Amino acid sequence: MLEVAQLSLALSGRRLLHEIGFSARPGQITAIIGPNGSGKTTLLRALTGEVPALPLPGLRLSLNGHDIARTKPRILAQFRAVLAQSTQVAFPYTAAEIVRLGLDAGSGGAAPDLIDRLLAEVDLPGAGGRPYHQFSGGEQARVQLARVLAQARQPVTPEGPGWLFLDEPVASLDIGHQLMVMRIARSFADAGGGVVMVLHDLNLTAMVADQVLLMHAGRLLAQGRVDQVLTDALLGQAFGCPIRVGRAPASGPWILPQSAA
Amino acid sequence: MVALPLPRRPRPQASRSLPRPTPRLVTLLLVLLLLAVSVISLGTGAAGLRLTEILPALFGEGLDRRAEVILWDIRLPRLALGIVVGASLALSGALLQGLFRNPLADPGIVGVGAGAGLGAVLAIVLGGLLPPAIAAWTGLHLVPFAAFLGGLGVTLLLYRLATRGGQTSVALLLLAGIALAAFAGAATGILIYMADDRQLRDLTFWSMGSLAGASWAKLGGALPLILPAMIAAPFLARGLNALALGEAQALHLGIRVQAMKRLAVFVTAAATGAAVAVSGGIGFIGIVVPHLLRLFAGPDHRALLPQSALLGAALLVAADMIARSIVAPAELPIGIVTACLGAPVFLWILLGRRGLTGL
Ligand SMILES: Nc1ncnc2c1ncn2[C@@H]1O[C@H](COP(=O)(O)OP(=O)(O)O)[C@@H](O)[C@H]1O
Ligand SMILES: [Mg+2]
Repeated sequence: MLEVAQLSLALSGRRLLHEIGFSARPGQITAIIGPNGSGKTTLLRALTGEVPALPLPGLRLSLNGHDIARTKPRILAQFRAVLAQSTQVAFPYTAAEIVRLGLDAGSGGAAPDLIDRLLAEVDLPGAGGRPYHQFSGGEQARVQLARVLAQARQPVTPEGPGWLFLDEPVASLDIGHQLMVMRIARSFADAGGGVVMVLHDLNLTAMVADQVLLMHAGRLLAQGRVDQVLTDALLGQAFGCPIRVGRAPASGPWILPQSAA
Repeated sequence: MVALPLPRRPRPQASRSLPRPTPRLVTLLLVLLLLAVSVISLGTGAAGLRLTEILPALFGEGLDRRAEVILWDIRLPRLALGIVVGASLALSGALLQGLFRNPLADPGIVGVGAGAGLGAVLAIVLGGLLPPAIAAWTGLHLVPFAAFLGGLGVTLLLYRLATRGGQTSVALLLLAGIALAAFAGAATGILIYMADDRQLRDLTFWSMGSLAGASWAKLGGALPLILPAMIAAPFLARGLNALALGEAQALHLGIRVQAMKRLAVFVTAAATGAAVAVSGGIGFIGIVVPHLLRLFAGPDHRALLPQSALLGAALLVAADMIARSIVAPAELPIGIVTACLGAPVFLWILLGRRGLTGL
């Protein structure tokens, strides 16, 4: 369980997050959406302990009962993996060496062929020996995803449920691979893990999210199920343009860009 | 409408994989290389004592007095010093590069060596002012530790100057390094004017960068710095690998980033300081060795750190042989040899990085 209350944050003297409170349950996908610059990445960085929250009264930030700010990185790494919006790699590591970093950080045994299997799972079969720098942007993103999956290889760990925190995991991917990432996130959650991810695409959000957090100007404008948050009024307010949410009879809601007048 | 044939999606080819030898094989080859270079080095020298005459003595067999002195008091300490200094320089290069996440960070280039040099010169010149009791107590450790502190100061300052929020600006790193090196050089120059004749001899000899004048005592003076550095370095490997993805990723991979970086700074300064204190400014080992190893054996610090030490030792012993034999019976300062080998490699790295953002 991820529990957040009264989470505020300032960087370089600017207040970027205001009194955020919500909780995310394992077994579910929690999607963070909102316009550019609304604080999605900053929120994820705060949730993972990368930047410290302002110590205001009532602040609470805990994962599986561990206070994020006070837990050793090594302990957190055993049940939580984080994918940043972009990752630059300093030296000519191969894909397999990158994935191994995740493997070494996570907990629990791993099959000897896990690295190859994970690379195949992100549709890079047999690519373990290739240098990371030779991959395209989308392929690099998938190598990083494989690393994160190697770290969170157990959806349920001895320390409680495993967690994936993903910042725009599909931003540089084509539609086939976007769906692949959604499938991976879904099966991680279905196996008992928790997923918190920043998403850009409202339709993907509508498709996979169990809970949606809608950010606007550093505040949580709304939270709830897809049908509670993805509404004309809320989206229009958050994104600053009229948006009409469509609804296909047999499936969930969808948003055509053309419907934004 | 004409349907275009769908281009086949390019699949990652196994054949494009790097043909890297296993780390164990590389390490084994490097050990053999170091052994070979060491043996040849023992058999090279102005005295003209051959390998065949030297080797039996190593195993305790009779040797005439002169040969024994040459072996035990000249060649062996010089070989040992070469190994220790080469290993330290290459290791501190690999560590500094990992810390700054950039293959151009070399203790010599970014001014850490100059800072260590300033510390050493301070100790040589002002050490004479110490009360005899204290001077006797610090003994041969004074210069190495002063060099360590000088190197530490520059490394910390560099980090402050060139790194913001975990991102190192390479331009700032190199330029700040130039400024710090220039400042340390100027301060060193002032101190040299203050030096008396005996100190001046120490200084000139030292500033050329040389293994000449090697002695067991000198080696002993530097060991309290080098041994802890060598022992601590392997513990940094996993952290430096994670740090290659950036500070935030390293944190999420379970690394205590600040503590790890602090240890890396101390180990780098200790290894550089000790090397500079005993051998003066020997450049480029710290950049050439890790670069070659990353290229041919891979960047994994768990292998890179020990392999850098091995190759650095072998390279410096070989360079020392060249320095001793090329203008025999005189000898070239070894820094000239390493610069001739190293500067082109540095330019080669620069060219390869042309066009990358921020170098
Ligand atoms: N380190 C920082 N210092 C000051 N402002 C920042 C910092 N990082 C992000 N911001 C600002 O915070 C706001 C939210 O950024 P971010 O969380 O990255 O937005 P997004 O929702 O697009 O991920 C932006 O206005 C950005 O300029
Ligand atoms: Mg963002």
